[in-house]
Amino acid sequence: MTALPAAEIDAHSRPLMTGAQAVVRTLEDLGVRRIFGYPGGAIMPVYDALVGSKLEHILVRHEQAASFAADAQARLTGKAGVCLATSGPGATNLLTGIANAYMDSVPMVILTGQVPSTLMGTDAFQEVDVFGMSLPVVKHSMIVRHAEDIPATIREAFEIAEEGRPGPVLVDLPKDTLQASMAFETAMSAPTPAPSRASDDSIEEALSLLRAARRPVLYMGGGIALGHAVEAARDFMARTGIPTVATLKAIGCAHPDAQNYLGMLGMHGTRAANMAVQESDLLICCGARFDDRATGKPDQFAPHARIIHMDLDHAEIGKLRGVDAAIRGDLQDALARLDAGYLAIDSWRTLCRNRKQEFAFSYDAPGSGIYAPGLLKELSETAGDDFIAACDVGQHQMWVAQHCRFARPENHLTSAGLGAMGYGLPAGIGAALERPDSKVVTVTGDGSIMMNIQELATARRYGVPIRILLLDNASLGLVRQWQELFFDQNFSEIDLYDNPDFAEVARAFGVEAFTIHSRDEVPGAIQRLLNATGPILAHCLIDPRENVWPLVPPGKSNAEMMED
Amino acid sequence: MHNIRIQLAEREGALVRLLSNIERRGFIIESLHKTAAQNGVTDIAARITPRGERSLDVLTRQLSRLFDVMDVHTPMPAHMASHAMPPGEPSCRQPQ
Ligand SMILES: Cc1ncc(C[n+]2csc(CCOP(=O)(O)OP(=O)(O)O)c2C)c(N)n1
Ligand SMILES: [Mg+2]
Repeated sequence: MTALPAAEIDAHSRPLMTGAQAVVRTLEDLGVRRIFGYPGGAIMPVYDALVGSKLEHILVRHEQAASFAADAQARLTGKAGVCLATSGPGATNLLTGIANAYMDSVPMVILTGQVPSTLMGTDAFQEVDVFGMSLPVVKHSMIVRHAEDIPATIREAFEIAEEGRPGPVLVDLPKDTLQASMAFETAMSAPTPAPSRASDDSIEEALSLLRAARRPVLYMGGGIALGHAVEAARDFMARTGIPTVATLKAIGCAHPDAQNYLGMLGMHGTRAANMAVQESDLLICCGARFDDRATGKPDQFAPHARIIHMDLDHAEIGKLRGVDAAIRGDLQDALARLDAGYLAIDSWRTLCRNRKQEFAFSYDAPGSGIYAPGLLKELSETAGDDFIAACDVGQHQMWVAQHCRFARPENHLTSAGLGAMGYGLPAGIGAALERPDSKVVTVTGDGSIMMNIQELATARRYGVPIRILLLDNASLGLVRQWQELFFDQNFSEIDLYDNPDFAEVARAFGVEAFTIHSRDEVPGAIQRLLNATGPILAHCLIDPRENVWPLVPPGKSNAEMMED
Repeated sequence: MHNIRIQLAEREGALVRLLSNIERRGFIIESLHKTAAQNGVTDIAARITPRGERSLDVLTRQLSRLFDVMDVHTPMPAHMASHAMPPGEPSCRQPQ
């Protein structure tokens, strides 16, 4: 924002500015460095104020991408990501990204332009009630009615988005409030409430369950990373030697080489993880929420287990499964206080470890074609602790979860709760802008990439160091797999035989690209990807018949896993 | 059928957010009463019925985490009270 001449202050020496300038100024004051957006009529005053501001604005090519990129940045930093769009179609295009952030508890502030207040409710041009449309998928939302409220409202939006269990907060900005003149006052932050601390009684109760357990399992969820409790969870694992499983969102919480870590549970989980949970007599659910993809048939999930449920959000406790002990509060603190010592469960631990070995994935697939699980494993191991994957949705996403090595949970960016195809490319852009020195790889499919392929233009414009690994099976593979297994091979609308030449497409956007077909090209491709300094796409042709194994069929218990 | 009483900050959208949450979480609103706001706070009293197997106790905590909701109160039949979780804490901030 251009500096205001000294004369433009009011009697209390507050600078006079427009509401739009106050939006920009408040974001700067809050320490926001980067926002993702797309201009249009109702938000134009903000775009006017952006010229010359300290904010870096990333122009995406579809508003959905702005919300996904902001989401990825937020997952990496723990601070609210910011996206910006105009009213009407701009706002509706953001909705999928808002829902994605809501489902995965990602802090995000969404700023939408709105038609002038006087026209709201009259079906004006580009008017949609985005406040109403987004209600079920926001943590909170506000409509600004007076320009003077802008600084306080935006500041409050950040606080709500980041405090407690994080989530998206939408601020709708009618154009007249953006254009009105106001006296700017820096809004004061409310003191951040300290996260609530679990009661001593609840910890004691949990400890006595833990001491009595013969077959305990730690079931880790996304709340561990959100609650900055990764180290505390690793300590707890090391201290107790407890066999541990993770949800899709908790991958990377356990140290990847931890002996007692059994992998992901649930539909595409490992057999060792699912068997441990099914046989456990005590399940410590830590920051997880008994999602149906993790539990399979709920009444047969961990049928012999008593439950300790630990969560900062007390509304999760008892939602889908009754509990024997509830620990409500900060997970980092609670895990540290759950001090049971090394558990005397040697035979159980050994059984779990042996199964981990017995059912470990093997990568010696026959043939000379590219074996995607092997490629992903090698890629992540070569990249090392700096490996960050931004996944799309489908078989490739499950292969990443099963076969990649992650040093930290934030490094695994995946649309878990919503399962939104189209996440991968914009999320990868958001991640690579935030962590240009890490090895950020978007792992996508031939279906998913087409949902936001226009973002190749964004990657190119800003020279984003993003590596795109496109696993092309010429089909909507995950849907095809289900049709094969559960719909009598009645294949319906999954064949993408006429895909474009994706390498050509990428080159048309000015993005370096190459295609590989055979396994012996894999090591070279990995090197080329990891050494790239700007956007690059590796188009990998894989066998369309490959499936994700093992698998718990829908409606079945996790004890009934299918193998290849 | 359950009785539920909610203290709500009188802010734009607060009422619709509250009611849509009750419905979305699987309860039918049978009857509803709202007082005029005093000092920015309004009282809502409703009679609600779960559509399927939904716990009132969980709903109470889901509502109490809403930003506009200051208190949720469910006078509970005595035979259920023993299974109940501690009541939800009011949300973190007072209305301006
Ligand atoms: C926006 C959206 N639409 C539809 C789906 C349903 N869906 C889940 S996976 C999938 C196929 C994905 O195909 P592709 O990206 O090629 O991945 P593959 O399974 O082949 O690896 C579909 C259609 C979804 N998850 N998201
Ligand atoms: Mg595919």
